Amino acid sequence: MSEPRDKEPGLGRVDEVDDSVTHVESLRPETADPEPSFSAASGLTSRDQPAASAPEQGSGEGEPGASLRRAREAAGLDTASLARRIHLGRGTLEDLEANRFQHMPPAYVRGYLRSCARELGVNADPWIAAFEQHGLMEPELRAVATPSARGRQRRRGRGIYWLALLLVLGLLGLGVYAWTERGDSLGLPALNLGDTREAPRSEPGDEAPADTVSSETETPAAAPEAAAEPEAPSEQEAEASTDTVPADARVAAEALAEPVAPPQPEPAEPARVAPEPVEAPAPADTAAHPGTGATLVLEFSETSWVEVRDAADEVVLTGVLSQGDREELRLELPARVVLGNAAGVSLNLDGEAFDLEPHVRSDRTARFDLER
Amino acid sequence: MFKRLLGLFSNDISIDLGTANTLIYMRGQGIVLNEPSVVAIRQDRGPGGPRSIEAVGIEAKKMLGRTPEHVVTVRPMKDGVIADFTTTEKMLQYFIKKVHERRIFRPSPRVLVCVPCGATQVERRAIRESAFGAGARKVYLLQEPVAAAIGAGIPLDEAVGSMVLDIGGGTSEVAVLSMNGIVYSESVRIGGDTFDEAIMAYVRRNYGVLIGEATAERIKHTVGSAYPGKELLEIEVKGRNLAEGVPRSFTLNSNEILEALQDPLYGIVSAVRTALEQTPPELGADVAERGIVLTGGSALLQQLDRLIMEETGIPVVIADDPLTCVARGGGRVLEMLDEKRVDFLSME
Repeated sequence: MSEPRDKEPGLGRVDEVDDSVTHVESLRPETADPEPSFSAASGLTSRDQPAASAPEQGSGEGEPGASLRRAREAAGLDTASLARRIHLGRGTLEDLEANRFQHMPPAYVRGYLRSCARELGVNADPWIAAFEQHGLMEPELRAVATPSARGRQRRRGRGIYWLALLLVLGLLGLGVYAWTERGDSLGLPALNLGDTREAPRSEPGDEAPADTVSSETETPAAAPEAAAEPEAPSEQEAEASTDTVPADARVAAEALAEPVAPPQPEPAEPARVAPEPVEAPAPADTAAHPGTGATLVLEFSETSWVEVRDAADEVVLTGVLSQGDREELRLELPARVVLGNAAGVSLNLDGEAFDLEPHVRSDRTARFDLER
Repeated sequence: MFKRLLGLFSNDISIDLGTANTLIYMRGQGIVLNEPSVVAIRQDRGPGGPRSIEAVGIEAKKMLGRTPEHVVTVRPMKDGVIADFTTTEKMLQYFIKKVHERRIFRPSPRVLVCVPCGATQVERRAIRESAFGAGARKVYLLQEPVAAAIGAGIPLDEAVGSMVLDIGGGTSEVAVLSMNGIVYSESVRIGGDTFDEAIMAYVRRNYGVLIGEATAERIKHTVGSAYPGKELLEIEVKGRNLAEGVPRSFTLNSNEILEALQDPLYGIVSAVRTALEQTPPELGADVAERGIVLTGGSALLQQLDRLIMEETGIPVVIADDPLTCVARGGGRVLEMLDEKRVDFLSME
């Protein structure tokens, strides 16, 4: 059985000091000052006592240790014999005689003292009373973790919450930043003035006009191919729109096919076709925006978020516009419009009021395509 | 809701509902009741007639074996659990009312009842229902070894093994505890009542004399010993001679009682040995170093600690005021209920 004091390194010094004190013991009068007792009011349990106070505790001169030793010696027993009789560890008995109770719960100490007293034929009550003077506190009823460990756990728990909160905030911030940056990179001008070269791209069948342009500039030999390729999209467009307005579709197919069909596009051709959908007020613009170009006027009676994308899916207008603001856009149709507060916006497409009512959702937003 | 309002006028109590004695610890006041678990029932107009409580506790115990035909004394607890549900409920009701004597309103306290660790779910439910029936607002059940250890002042939160042997009136509970929990526990149906029965049987067998429970208990308290002592104690006892049919007087000494108690004592020692065998080695080493703590009323039997010490080779410590350890331990838990969480004690 290992001695309890071996378990606590802080008590190792006690033994050394105790030995030295034993030598001067005989020189001291019996009425030497009693060893200072623990103060329960200090809020420290016996285990919390600093090591510096241990030598005083272990002086071996205080009660009940001294009485126990005297009784044992009077009975002619050494520590080993007495310890064997009461089946107690020798180290424990020596600790009792040296008043080293720090590592022993008070309930056990009282029991050991009673056992010793009975074995030695003396009354244990004075020893118990003397032991009580040491003021060792009864063990507290508490959870297994020590208060400091619990505190650490609580702090760690709080730290995790803070970390999670920061992470969420960071992600939110990053998202907002990325969204605004994306808006900037796409260009957020109120008006996106597309040049004439982009005009064909806004036509249905994005790939075909591009091919057509490249074929015009780089490989004139490929002109037949280029002339043939637009056939497909124009046919598709014609088929797609046949169900709704077959007459318009035919006209549109012709209008679309005509500018691409000849290897050298003639400005007169688009100009001739464009006036059909676009009204008279902007003849100059019509030349610049052939085909499905339209004028969209947005008037804001309340603050609203707005995004307008043209036929090329490029953002023409985005942002929060305030009451009284007015925006006039030239864009290719079909366009995609998203309004945050549809009730506060009125639209005018080519001079005609656009009815938003069918598109307004329950959350006041509106998402719709503008077509001619 | 109404019960909660009544609770404002009640003090929470911890009850050690023992086979031999019932102890009540009241919050802020300590042990306020320690009475035998005995109820005297009057039955008027013959069998099947109306029954009423004649006396409870000390008064009832005085009547034990001395009652007229229409009064019977009952011990509603047997082997640590309820044997007679209705009588237990009435007894608890009486005790709760008694400790709230000066209250205008009917008491409706929160009650913590300590139960043997060997009690089955049915037995626990019976105890719980009985406490509710006696007027408890809320009932908590705590295992007796845990309550005994807390009451004895054993530090439970440490990762160090402690062994508690609680010898009550009906059962003996041996448990190894560490880190606020029970590592091993065993309950044997041997206790103070078994000692009394063993003494009665011994006297009948060796002297041909019949003695009552109360006399057997007095013998146990006076000259009972579990280990041969340095001095021989004697007691004069009177009983009915079975052969002659008349009362006779004779003398018993402590060695005879020691002989009489051999069987039940051997049962307890066996339970302790089994517990030591079943305990994990690390905790067993802790127990061997610190010792076994004895609690319960029967821990007061002379030299019982010596017997266990010699039989196991481990130091044995008798707790301060072992009779009230369980009730005090329950009381400490009760006092913590509102201060901080005590769910680490696995209460029900």
